[in-house]
Amino acid sequence: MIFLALLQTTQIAYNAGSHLDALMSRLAVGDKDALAELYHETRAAVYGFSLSITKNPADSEDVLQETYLKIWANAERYTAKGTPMSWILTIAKNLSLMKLREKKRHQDLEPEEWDMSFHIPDTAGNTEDRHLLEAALNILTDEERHIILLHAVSGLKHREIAELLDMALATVLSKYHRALKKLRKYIEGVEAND
Amino acid sequence: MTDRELELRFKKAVEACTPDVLDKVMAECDNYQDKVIPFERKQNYFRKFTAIAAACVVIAGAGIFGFLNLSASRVASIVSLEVNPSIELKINKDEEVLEANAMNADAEEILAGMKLKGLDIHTATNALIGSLLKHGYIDELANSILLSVEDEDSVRGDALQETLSEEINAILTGASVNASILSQYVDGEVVDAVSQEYQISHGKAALIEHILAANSNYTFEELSKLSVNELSLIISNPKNQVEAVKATGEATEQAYIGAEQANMIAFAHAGIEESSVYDLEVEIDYEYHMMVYDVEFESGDVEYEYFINAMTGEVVEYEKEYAE
Repeated sequence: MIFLALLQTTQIAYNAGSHLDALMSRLAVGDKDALAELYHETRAAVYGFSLSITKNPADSEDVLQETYLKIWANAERYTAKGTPMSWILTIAKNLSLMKLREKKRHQDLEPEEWDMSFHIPDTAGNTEDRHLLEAALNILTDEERHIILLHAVSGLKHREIAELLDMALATVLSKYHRALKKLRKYIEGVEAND
Repeated sequence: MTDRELELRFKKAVEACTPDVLDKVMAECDNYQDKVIPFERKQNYFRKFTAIAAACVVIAGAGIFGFLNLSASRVASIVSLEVNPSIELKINKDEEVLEANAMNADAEEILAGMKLKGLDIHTATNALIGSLLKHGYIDELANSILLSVEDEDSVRGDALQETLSEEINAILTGASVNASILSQYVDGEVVDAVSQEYQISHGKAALIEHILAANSNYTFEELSKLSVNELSLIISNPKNQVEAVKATGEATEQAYIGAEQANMIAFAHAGIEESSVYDLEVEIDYEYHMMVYDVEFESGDVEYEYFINAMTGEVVEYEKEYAE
């Protein structure tokens, strides 16, 4: 089972952990250039994962900013035992969940507003990119969305996703495949209409 | 389209839609004061409005304000965290911290310079765990945390305890720390007298009461002197199982010689080869006023039980019985 998961994930792991580790060490001694480098390498992963939780671009933009401030302030506390990406995403996850909790406390949304379909601002990306992202946020379940984002954008391994989301590896794998299937169906549908 | 192509296309879409906040991050990082507490600067957006709102509140009349203030300042729950530093947070019904108290000298070091008042309990807990890690109170030699929640509403208290325990677990997992979290709901009135007598927190007193209910061979006094990690190890022994306390992770034994080493010492003392041993059982426990490994095994027609000092490896006591 573990071998199977490794075979499937090694092909797409995109970020050499040791490079991020090196950046973390530089951050720990207050190197701002390292913060900028880390930001460029991981910002899409942080924003995408946060978006999959908050489903709100403005909130996730705040989370994006807060995440790097927190990374900057806590870099010395990071220990090399885990992967930097898991650590960064755990921070993003906690901040995103706090956003959700804040909202619940301060905004009494009407029930019909809860399931508002998702919309990316027109200023971001091109139309095709926006639509694909909107589709992912609208047609996937919460768990499928978290998993596909973590795997495709963050380059996390299925095993790491299982740990981060506190799910069984087999569940992560089956939801991942279901999510890919749904996205493929969406893209093929769009292309057929063009 | 292959899976790989589909993922790359999706990744490209997310990258294209991600806003660029680097300038803001760079501008703010030097002023990011409260190291482990997010959302402080969030108030900047509302600074102007806060002044107007504050003026309105004054005009709105002291009566309404007084009523709201009373409700917001009332203690609804007490959350305590104990590692060796013992910290107590009193919160209102909106889960905002009203008071953060250091219950021992180590806790004063942890709380020094932290402004927890007014924060929500989740952020405050996050900050405290960060500070405990930073000060080296949670490490490979002692990794147990006791989380206790007192609340007049036991359902709310249970829910809060569960959420906080999950959050602490997530923080520690994120920091790559293998910790053991013990969490429990506590009725403060029941344990108040005994906690005062032994100068320990309500949480620790309640934990000890639970252990004594499972195993009456211990005394309250001796257990009160043990660390949370030692108590956590005692609970990990199957004969001391405590249902009212939820445990995640494993308490570390790295401060001790380890079960394997204890076995070897017992076999050597008994003068037998490991290959002749069967029905071996080893558990960590508290006996003879110390942490010990309780090693039981059989060899030939003889049953052995050894108590090995977990710190030094010294044989504290042993019994040898010939099977009938």
